[in-house]
Amino acid sequence: MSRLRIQKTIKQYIGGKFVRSESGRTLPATSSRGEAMHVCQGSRKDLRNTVRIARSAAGAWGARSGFNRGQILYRLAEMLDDRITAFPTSEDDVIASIDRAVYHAGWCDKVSALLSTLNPVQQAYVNYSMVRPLGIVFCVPDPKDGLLGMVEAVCSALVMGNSLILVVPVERAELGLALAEALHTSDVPGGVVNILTGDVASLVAVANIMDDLDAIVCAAGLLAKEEAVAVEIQGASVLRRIWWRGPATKPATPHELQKLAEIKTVWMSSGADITGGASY
Amino acid sequence: MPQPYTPALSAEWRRVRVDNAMIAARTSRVTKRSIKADTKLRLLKLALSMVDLTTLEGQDTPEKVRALCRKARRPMVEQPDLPHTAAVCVYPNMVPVARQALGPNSPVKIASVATGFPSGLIPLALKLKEVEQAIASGADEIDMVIDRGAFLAGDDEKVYNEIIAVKAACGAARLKVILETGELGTLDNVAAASRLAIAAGADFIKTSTGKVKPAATLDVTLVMLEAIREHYLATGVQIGMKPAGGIRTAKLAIHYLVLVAETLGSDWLDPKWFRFGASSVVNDLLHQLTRRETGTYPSPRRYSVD
Repeated sequence: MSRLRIQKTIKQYIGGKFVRSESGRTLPATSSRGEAMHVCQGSRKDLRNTVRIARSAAGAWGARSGFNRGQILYRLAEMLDDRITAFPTSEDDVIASIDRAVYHAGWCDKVSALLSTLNPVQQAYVNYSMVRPLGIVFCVPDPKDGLLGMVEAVCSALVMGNSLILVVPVERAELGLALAEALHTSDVPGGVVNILTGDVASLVAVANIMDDLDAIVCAAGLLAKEEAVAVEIQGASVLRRIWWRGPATKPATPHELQKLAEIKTVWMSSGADITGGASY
Repeated sequence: MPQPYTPALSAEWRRVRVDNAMIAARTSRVTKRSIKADTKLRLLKLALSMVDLTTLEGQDTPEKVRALCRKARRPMVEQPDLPHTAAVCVYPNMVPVARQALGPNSPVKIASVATGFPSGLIPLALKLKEVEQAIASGADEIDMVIDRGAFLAGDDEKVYNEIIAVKAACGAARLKVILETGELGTLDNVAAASRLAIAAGADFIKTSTGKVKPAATLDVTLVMLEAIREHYLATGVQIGMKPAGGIRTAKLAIHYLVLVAETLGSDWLDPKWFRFGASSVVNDLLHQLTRRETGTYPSPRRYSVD
């Protein structure tokens, strides 16, 4: 006897909750089972609310130790591994994503040691620079990169202690939701990773006028020329970091990850010139 | 002049029964009004002009009060044509600092909390002394607290006579009476305390100190507005209303304005008759005003931390 499978509501993931769009609007799409489905159309207000939520979650996440963030990313890899067959994508894609999560988990407690420096200066100061989270990253991976593109975008922002908003087009909404379910069970605090679905170009246009977004990371060539120009111009007006990323098959190197961090430099008097030696 | 206390007066105040379900239904309707862009802009500016910009912390320093006064006078440097706030609200010790910062004839009023804020549990003689001193240091308005313990124990006479005495000590200064609705327990009590305060000569009735949760809500505000309306219809005398505490968003501030307009009419949509006791709402109002001005969503980091 054939069983009538229940239809899954494809929701967004905001502030650790699975929610519909504030607008109540949906866009038609076809599910991985070939059935008609409706996907939330993320709105301007959704993005505005999400930015607020991501900002309030960013502080505590960035203040966690790199080691703890690494444990949580590794937990994400465990959750992905458990769900290999649950993702509406190829098994290779999921396995590559698991490996990528482990790769970034490993960097969490090492990247700051690698990027921080002790700077040589002329006077009697100890001068060192360290990496600090940037804040909120708006991520637009290439849909062609599948789950790997999303995992790469999420993990590279998380490694540096940022919170993020991932934008997923309608045709990848099921995949985005499956990733959200894995994230939800991975001890990633609510609001640190948020997933909006809908029309990517229009959400990017709204992101452009959101002063409180610290970075936009977008797959190179994904946007039309004039859309990309708008991202650059509007970003420049609020000193926003813009990073056009290459294919997700190549993971972000530590030097690339530095784009999602601020450098904080500290000068401390070493006292050597005052006392004529290290007498205290 | 208020009448001398009699048990009959008390019975009259306590007679009122509030229909909680109806209050909730009415306030929930208020939150669903569609407000068009032009009106919203006007309401945002109006709300800004109604704020009693408040700092009532143990950690208040003179410099913090001075910064607050600067912000009250000119909420946003980039937009000098925005209205100033109605007042600053501070502890009595900070009144001289505020007066010095604002100058002698400032359009921004100085409100001082008094009478043993926030609990109100000090002897009456000291309450009056505190009020006199606040006024002598330059306060234009006094925010007094009622003795909730006495009210809840049924000692309306004490509460009533204290308000009368404080009102007399205020002289020309306007008196706001804080009911601390979060401690009154029921809307019936809120209705009774509102009537008591109005009968004793309050110029304003105010929901909360901001030190107790829940602070201001639309529900208690509506109950208090109804008391004001009843008094106005009976006597023709306008009483002001000040919800305080917990109003942090421009959206909520606009809900309050809608509630006032629909309950009391537009005569009350004036800083003389309606105030918000708040501080963080100012940043959200500025945020919304900038958004309307520039079309962008400014970061909260663009505004001063109060």
